[in-house]
Amino acid sequence: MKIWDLLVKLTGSGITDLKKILQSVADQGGDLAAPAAALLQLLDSAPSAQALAEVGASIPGELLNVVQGKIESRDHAGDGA
Amino acid sequence: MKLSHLIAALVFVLATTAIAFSVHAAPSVFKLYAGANGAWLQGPDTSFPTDFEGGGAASASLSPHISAVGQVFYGFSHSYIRYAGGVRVTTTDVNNPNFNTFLGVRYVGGSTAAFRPSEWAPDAGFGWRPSPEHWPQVTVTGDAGYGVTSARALFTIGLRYEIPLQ
Repeated sequence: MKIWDLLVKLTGSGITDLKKILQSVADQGGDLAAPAAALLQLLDSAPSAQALAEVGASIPGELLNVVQGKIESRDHAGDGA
Repeated sequence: MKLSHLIAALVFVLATTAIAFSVHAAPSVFKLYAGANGAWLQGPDTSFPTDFEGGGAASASLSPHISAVGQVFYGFSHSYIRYAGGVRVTTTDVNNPNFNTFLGVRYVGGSTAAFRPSEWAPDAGFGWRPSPEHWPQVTVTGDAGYGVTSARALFTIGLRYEIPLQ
């Protein structure tokens, strides 16, 4: 079993959806394509701490707006526990 | 090891971007919390039974039932830092924002022997907003986790304040 498959099995459809969203953004091209592809690559790899820091710091807010607009989230009181 | 890196990567990216781009992020997906805990640690080689902690947490609701979470807390009595990151599944009504229980798994570790080695720890807990009308950002939380390598159990009862992101 691939690492990604195991992660998806553990976390259900949420991360699968996240990856699909990022892939669609990457496929559309434009300014957000490169950061979306970088984040996808990060999720598919076993990155170093340095790579995490570099990619995490370079993600534009517009990409988050796209992602958050497509994720079906909920307010859980216990998420801060 | 690779799985832990992958999950750590997800939690790291979500937490980092929530902080770095909080102006743009909607609170419905990303949330930041400041909080305090009473902590009880039981099991082999634990150097203390209880402590009082202060710190912060971040979460991202990835679907109605699934959230990625991360936290860092400092123990004031025994001067330690401990961290955790993982995923959790809401086990009660996801449409009730004021109370829920959850099951999850976290990768945990810390600065002292009591929190080493870093390990996976299944956990379960709850969150409750006691006064959603007057204090919607205040949550009472409880969590219990069991380290699969160390056979130590950590119990926490805490208060969280959700930091407004917009």
